[in-house]
Amino acid sequence: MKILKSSLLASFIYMGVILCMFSCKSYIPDDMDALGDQIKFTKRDFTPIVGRTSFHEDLLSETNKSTLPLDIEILDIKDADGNSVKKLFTDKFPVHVWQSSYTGKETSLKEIEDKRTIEYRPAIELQKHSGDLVFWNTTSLLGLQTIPSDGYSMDVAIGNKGGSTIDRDLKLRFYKPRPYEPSEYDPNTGLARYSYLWPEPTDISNLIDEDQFGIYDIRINIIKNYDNKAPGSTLTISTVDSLYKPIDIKKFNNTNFETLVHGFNPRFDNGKVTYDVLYPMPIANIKTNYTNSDGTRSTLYLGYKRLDVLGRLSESYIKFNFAIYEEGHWEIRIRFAGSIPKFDND
Amino acid sequence: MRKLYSILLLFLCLFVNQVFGQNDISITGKVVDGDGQPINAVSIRALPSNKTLGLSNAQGAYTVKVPSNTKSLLFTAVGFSQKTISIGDKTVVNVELASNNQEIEEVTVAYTVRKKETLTGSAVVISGKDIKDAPAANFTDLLQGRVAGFNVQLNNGTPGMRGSMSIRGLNTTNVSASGGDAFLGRTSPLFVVDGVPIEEGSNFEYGFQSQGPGISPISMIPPDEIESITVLKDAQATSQYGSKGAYGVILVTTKRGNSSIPVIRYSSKYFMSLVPKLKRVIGGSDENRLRVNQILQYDTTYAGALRLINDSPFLSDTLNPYYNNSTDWHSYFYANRFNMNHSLSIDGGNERFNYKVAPSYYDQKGIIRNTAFRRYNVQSNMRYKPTDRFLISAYLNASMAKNSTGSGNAFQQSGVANSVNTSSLLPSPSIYTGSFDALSATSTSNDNKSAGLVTNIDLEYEIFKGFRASTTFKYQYDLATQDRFVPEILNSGQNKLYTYDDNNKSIYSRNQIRYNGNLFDDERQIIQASVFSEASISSYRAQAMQMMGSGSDQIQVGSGFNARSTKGGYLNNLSDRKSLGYLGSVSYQFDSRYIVDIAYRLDGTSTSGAESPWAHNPTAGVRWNFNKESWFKNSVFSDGSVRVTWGRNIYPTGSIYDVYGRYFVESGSYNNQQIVSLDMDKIPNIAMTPIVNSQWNYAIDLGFLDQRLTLTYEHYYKETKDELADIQLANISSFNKITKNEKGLVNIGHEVSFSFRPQVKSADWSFNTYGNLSYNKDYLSKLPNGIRQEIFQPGDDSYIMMLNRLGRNSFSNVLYHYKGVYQSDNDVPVNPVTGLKYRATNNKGEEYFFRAGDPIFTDLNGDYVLDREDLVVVGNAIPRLSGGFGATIRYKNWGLQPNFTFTLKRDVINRAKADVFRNYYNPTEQKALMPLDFDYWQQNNLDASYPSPLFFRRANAIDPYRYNSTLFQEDGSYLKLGSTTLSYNVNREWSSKYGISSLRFYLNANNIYTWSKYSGPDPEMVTDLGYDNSNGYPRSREFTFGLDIQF
Repeated sequence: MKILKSSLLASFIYMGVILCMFSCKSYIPDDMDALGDQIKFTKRDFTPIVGRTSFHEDLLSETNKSTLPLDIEILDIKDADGNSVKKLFTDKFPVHVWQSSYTGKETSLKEIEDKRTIEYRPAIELQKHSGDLVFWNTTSLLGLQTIPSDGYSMDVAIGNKGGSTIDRDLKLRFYKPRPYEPSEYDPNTGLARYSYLWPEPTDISNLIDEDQFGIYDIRINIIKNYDNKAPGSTLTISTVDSLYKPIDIKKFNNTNFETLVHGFNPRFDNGKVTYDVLYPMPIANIKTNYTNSDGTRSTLYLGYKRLDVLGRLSESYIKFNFAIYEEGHWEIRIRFAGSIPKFDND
Repeated sequence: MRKLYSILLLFLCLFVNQVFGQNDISITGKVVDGDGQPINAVSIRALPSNKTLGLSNAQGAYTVKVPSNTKSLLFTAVGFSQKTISIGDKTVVNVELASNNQEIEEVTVAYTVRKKETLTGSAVVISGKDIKDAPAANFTDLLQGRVAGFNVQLNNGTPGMRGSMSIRGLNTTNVSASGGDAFLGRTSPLFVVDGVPIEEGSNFEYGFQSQGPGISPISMIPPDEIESITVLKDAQATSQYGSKGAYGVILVTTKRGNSSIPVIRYSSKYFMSLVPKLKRVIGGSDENRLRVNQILQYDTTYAGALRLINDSPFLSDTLNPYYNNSTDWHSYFYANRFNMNHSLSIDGGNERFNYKVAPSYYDQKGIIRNTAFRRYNVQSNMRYKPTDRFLISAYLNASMAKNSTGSGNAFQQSGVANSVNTSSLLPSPSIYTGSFDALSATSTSNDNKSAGLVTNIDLEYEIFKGFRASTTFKYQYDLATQDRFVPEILNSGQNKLYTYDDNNKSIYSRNQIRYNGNLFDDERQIIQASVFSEASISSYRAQAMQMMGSGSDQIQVGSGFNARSTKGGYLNNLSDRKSLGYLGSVSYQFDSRYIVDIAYRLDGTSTSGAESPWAHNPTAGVRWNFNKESWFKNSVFSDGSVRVTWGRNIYPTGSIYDVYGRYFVESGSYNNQQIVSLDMDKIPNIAMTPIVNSQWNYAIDLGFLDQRLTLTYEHYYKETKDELADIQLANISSFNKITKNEKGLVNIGHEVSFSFRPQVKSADWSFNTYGNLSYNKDYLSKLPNGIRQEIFQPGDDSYIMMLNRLGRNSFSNVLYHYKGVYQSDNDVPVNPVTGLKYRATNNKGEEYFFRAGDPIFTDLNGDYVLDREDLVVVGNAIPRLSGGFGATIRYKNWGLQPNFTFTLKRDVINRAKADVFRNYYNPTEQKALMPLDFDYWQQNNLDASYPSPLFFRRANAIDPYRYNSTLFQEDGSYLKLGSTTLSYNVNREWSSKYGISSLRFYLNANNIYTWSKYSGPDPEMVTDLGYDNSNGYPRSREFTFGLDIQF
């Protein structure tokens, strides 16, 4: 009996200790997700160009004081008058999204097409966990106010299980659509500043006319053929003289027409060459054989070889970096506005 | 004046003693132990007068004159249970004393001796003889696995350095960094040796922080001279030690004389230190072919590969004797060593007067060349107690230690680690071959000396019965010097001379008044009260001088030198600290059943701000010995008690600059005058307080079957708050930051310990076991500036990232989550918007896309970029379960003592394994290659478990074998067979023929075997933050032959 009594007592004491133990624990803060009070977007002013897909990453500050991943979403976008324009981030439009990576080594349009698929997404999209902001090329369908308008202001909710905060007044100011680059049009006013484009001086090499003078007056136009309603997209490259008379592009005999642009099925007609292509061009900002060094522009290379006065083999070329963002039938016309290059041997 | 009084008193007391020692009856007898062997030096006292009558001699015989009013005699001897025998009218009293293998009954807590059964706080006592057989420079290493809640990790094998230790979990959230490694802030317990606190000083926590030799004063205490060690864990027990007691207190009592004939004890240890298993490396032409093949197969182009090989004479010029070697670097650096340790102790005396002189010598050569620790030490003490009312004791410990740390610092051997990690193709070190790194590790002359002197004197006087006044004074002086000379050839053509010296002085004084008595003349009601004041002053100075380029190695003093890189002067870590404390305590006992302790302590430290100069630290404790209740008698319980304590404790923190700001001499001038200006980096914080620790402790002690089985369970809740944190200020305030008391953490733990002594029928056998287990969990309770979490980089190396989050364990590993290997390029995910593949960035900002053979790391935020935002929180580097168990088995004269220690539930980052792969990152780098016996990705092995380390062109950006990946996080649990002793006691009959009263031989093996699932070299060689420390010093296995002789 005594044993029983003492065991009872011991267990009673033990229970008491356990009770004390748990009562203390309530003073320790709960292990909850945390949201830093300084968390916000570091870039506060976005100036995308209507009709182009642009991607902004690494936008959040002080992520080390918050529990990751965060949940980020657009709460509202208001126009300059303060009216909410929900359709900017709710209406969904079909866009091309990548499924596997573009390499520049694809051998047919279908192969490139197979790497992309069409999904319906809002034109202004905030990636849920990373806070990366995407302006899809479908912004052209929204009828947006463009610069010089004050644009829009965006409110973003940032949160996780530990709390949420609203980052207000991120400025969105859109530039007017410019379907290709470089462009003659002023980004602010939308008015043409020049009537033509030109290659960088360093992109012209050894172009010499009949009189052995260097050729520098080269005028380039990027023209969309709105009348051509044929399905698909094409890019035509043509060279003309000052009177718009075609110069046969094949005279640029050092040009590899197979890899002039990342297009397929080159067709020579009337001195021009036409490819079946996909737009935008370049299709992704990845450096390939068809682009400049950072992959943002496609590079056109037209070159020829001839024997010069002294009988040496001379190489001449003209290079042009461009980008086209709209689907359709485009032509890049290179006009030798002064004299034309001499292709024959001396 | 006080001295004069004391001397007068002393003589007076002597005289009084003489007067009363007359007119008594004479009693004779013999004292023997359980085996019938005589016991020497048994103290015999008369009861109830409690007067000491005499001692037994070496044959156990005694003759005492007993005062007429004596009713019984009390026999006490060290190592035996005391016994009271009533004398009646006997004149011959023969006594048999039972040997005492139980826990030591009396404990000195808060400078007052108390019976253990009346303590409310948590104290664990370890007898010195239980641990002394293993060779160790530091006695704290020997306590591993002995005390529940005292976690010792022997993560450092450098001779003379101690492992890391902490009492009751994690004590700090502050991290300091050195090079690539981050270390926990200092939380060393307070050491109180023979009643006086010993300054360990922050410099000795790891050694790397100090420029000096890094020898702790604690390693100056020879383990052979330790009588007992008491580990105080809870706030009630430690609070009375005031400031610095917040992280626990370890009391060390050294041996003192207790024999009327002088006793000479000699013990020596001869031990072999064996090199543990080292990494396997590839040597000679195998290594060369491996490198060349890697380049040919994995470079981006064939032409590039050929160019790289041809541009690297290391690989292409294979017939050059400089590159045509197969050097075994391990053999050059590591070797088994033979060491020894001698200690001699001469002591004698009795209760009235005793003395001890104990010189000792300890010599340990490290298993790494050019590292050693040698200690010379003399410990002496004396006590004179002319009457029961007066006591004077004095201690004098002088020690000198020399160590050489090779090319590393005292904590790490990074120099050797770098050199061992050298390609086997290079020639072995000599001045002709230019392997200077290696040569400097072994031939830099590096002469470090530390010397220490600790003296203290205690005076105690009983003014009237039960009322005692005592005073203690300590002076400690520690000195360290370092001289290093690096010859010209090893230091890029300029020799380097470096001298360093530091000194640390401290003065400590305590004056105490104590009262012991009964309340209301009731024998059952005991009251103990005490008041003391305590003051300490310490100051630290260090200076260093470095001279470069003296012109010739023969000129080792300054004549001409390179003035640009020659420098010297006082180092800015100088400190002057003062502290003052007052304590009042009362303890009340009723019938040894109900005990209440209350104390209040007031502490002032020189680093407290003007707004709060004093810290108020109350403590309280209650104990109920329920086995003494009448209704509990005759139950299976032989002991039973419940204890609850609460207390608060402080630890001084920060520097006076944090409190008062700092003026300094500007480098510029104004009007050609030197100017002095305020340091605008930190704004003074006059509200600064010490770190405050408060702790609840609940305990149950149970004893069964006449104490053959004892169990102790303790539970604690320990809150540490007001830790310092730097807070950045807004740039409008003109100061950059402020240091404030803004961090806190909580430790909750359970501790269980048991001892079991089964009843064995045969008298030849005896059997004792002990075991303990402690579980600790820490929670972060406060972070600076009101944040809830922060991922931060504690060290210089960006790969060690840590998470602090409220409510969670303080240090969570933050790692990249490894999920496998990309079998082909098409498996790499693509950003649907941009079409770019998942990518990583190197420190130059270059971006590399993942490809086949690369690791799959989880992209936590889904942005297709692997960066710090993808770190996941996994693992806890702090061990949650630790403990130990062991046994003492005796058969006749033989004894066997195995001891095990274990640590469970700990996550360790296996940096050593990562380095095996990482050495393949750059095939032209001259590092050692270890065989890749792993299932890694290759063209013919796509479904592999490890990524390919061989893509060397991209390795730095992709960093497939980054340390901070879950690939290398492993379970660091282990069970270690620690010190194990086999001993033989020579029969006394035989040895006494040669005048030897005791002779003992033993064999001890230490650090023999570790059971662990961990795939790295040693799960214990891990930093406090859980990173495998393969740059550290490996722990040797030690085999000892030892001999103890007593004359």
